[in-house]
Amino acid sequence: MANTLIDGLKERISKAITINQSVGIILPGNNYSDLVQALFEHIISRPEDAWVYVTITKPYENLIKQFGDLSDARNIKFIDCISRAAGISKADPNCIFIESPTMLEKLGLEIINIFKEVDENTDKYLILDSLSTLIIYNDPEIVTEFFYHLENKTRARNIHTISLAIEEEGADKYLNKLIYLNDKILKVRDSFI
Amino acid sequence: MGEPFKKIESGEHIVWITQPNEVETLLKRREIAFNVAKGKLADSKGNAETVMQTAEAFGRGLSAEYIKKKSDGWTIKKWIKPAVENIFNPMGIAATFTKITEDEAKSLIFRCQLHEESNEPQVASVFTYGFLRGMLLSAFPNGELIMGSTMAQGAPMIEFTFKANASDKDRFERERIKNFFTDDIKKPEE
Amino acid sequence: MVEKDLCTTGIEELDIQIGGGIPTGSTILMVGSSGSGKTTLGMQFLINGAKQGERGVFFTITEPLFKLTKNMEGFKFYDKKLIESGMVNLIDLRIISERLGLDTEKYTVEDAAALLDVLKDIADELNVKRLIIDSITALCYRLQTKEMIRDFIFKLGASLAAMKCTTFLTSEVPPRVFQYSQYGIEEFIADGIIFLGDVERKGDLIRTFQVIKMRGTAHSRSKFAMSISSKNGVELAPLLKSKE
Repeated sequence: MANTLIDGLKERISKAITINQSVGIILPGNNYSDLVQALFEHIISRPEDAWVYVTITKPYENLIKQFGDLSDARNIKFIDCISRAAGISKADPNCIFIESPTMLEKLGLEIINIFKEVDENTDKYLILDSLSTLIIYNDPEIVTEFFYHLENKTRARNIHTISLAIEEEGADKYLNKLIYLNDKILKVRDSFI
Repeated sequence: MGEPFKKIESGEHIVWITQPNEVETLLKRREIAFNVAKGKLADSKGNAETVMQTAEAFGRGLSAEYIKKKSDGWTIKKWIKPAVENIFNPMGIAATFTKITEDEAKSLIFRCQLHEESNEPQVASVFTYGFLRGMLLSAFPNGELIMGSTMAQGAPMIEFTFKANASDKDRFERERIKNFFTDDIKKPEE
Repeated sequence: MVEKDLCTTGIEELDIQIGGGIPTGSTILMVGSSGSGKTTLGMQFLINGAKQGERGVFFTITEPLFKLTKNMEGFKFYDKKLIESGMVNLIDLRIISERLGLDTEKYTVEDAAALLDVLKDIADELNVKRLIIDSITALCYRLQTKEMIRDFIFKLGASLAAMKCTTFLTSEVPPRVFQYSQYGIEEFIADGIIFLGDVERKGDLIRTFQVIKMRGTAHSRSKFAMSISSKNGVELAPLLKSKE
C-alpha cells in the first residue's frame, strides 16, 4: 500500500513541478515519511537537475539516516535550520547549517547563493520542509513575508519550489493562506487519487 | 528556563528546544531496558502490556535516580527543567516544547535514536510512551501523558503532552496507545 | 540625460539599493558599534575596487596592521596579491603621526593641517580612487574643537572629491543607540551615511544595514539584514518586519 502511495506521489510531483513554477503539498502528518521518500526517489531519478532541500522539521543527519541513498548524490544540497539550534550539528560538505530557524534572511541568502553556482541551463528545484514547522518557530506574519520574498526571488531565477504543509487538527489560518500562494496544490490522502 | 533549553522568544510566543548531549551509560541502560521489553513481548506472544510495564518501570527508576523529589511539590513548569537536563538531553532526545505552563507541557520530539535506529518503530513507540509516562507519574500521580502523532506512523515528530492532572478522557490514553499499536506489534508474528 | 559617475561597492544588494553605486568622489560615513562589520565592509569595498583596477588605501588608527590583515585573511574575498602589488595599501596613521612629530593625544591646528596634507599627498601620489579611514572617531578625538573637526572633514572630503576618490569614514557609536557619531558633526559634512546596527529577534541578534543618506541618489531607506560570512563577505537581504 505504501509503495503504491509513494509511486503515486512521485508521479504527481513530477507532473506538477514540470508544469508549475511552485507547488504546495498539503499532507497529513502520517504521510510525511511517504512523501519525503517519494521526493528523495524523484531526486535520485533526476541527476541532471539541481536540488536544494531546506529542512526545518528534521535534522539533516536524521533525514539521511532514515531516507538514505543521498550521500553519493551530487545533484542535491541541504540547508539544515534546526540542528544548530538543538546543538547537534556536525560539519558536512553537503549541508549548510543555519544557526536558528528564525534566521530567515540568512536562509534566503543561502538558498540563492547555492543556486548562483548552478549552471544556467540546469533545471533548479527547491524543497521547503516545511511551512508548518517554520510557523512553530516564527511569528506567522514573518513567515508570510519570508515566503513572499522567497517566491519572488525564486520566480525571478526560474527556480521551481515545492513547499510542504503538514496538516494538524484545527487548521492554521496562516498556513492555509500561505500554501495557496503556490501555483499548484497537491493534497495527499491515503486513498490516493 | 536555563541552559537545558535554547529559548526562542517573541513577546508571548515562546518555544524551547532541548540541547541533546548523549551520555553513553544512559543510552546503554535504555538499550538494555528496551531489549528486556522486546524479550517479554516475544514471550507473551505480542502482549503490548509487557512493553508498557517494562518501560514505565524504567521511567520511574530514572526519575528516582535523576530527578530529586521536591518537598513543596511539583508543577510541570518546575519539573520540566530537571527532566530535560537529566534525562532528555543525555538520552539524545531533541524536542521542541511549544507550551510549558504550571499544569501542562507540549513537546514535539524531532530526533530520537531509539525510534530512528530500531527495526521495530511500533515497539519503540510504546516503549518511549511508557518510559516518559513512568517519569511523569513519579512526579504527578494524577497526571497523564497524551500522545499525538508518532514517527512510527510516518509522522516527522512525536507529539507528547505532559499533564499534571488528567481529565476523565485522558485516563483512557494508556489503553488507547496500547491498543493502537497492538495489531502492528502482533503482525510480524502472524 | 547625464550619466552619473558611480563607484560600485561590489555588494550586489547594496549597489541595487543606491541606484547602481555610490556617486564617485562622495564621502560616506559608515556608522556602527564595535563588531558591527564596518572594517569588513570597508575592506570588501576596497578589494572589489582593486579587482576593477581602482587603487585603494586603508588608513587605520584603531587596529594595528598585523591584526587587520590577520582578521581579513579568513575571508575568501581577501586577496593578498592585491596588497603586495600595491592596488590596496594598508597604512597605520599612528605611524604617520609619529613621523610627523604630532602629539599622540591632541592635535593643534597646525598638526591637523599637516596630517591633512599627508593624507592628500598619499592619495594623489598613489592615484587612489577608494579610501577608508578607520575610524574618523579616533581621529576626531585628537582634534580639539568642533570647528577643527568640521574643517578637517570638509577639506579632506573636498580634496578627495576633486581626485574622484570615494571615501568611507568609519564612525564608532555605542551599541543599540541610534546616533551617527560621537561628536555630532561628521554626519552633516558627509555626503552619505550608512548605519550598521542590530535587531533582536527571538533571542538572536541580527545585523542590520540601512542607508540613511546618500546625496545624488534616489536610495532606499529600508533596513536590511546583513550577513557576514567567510565565503561571501558582506551580504544583504531585505529585513523581515517584526513586531519588535
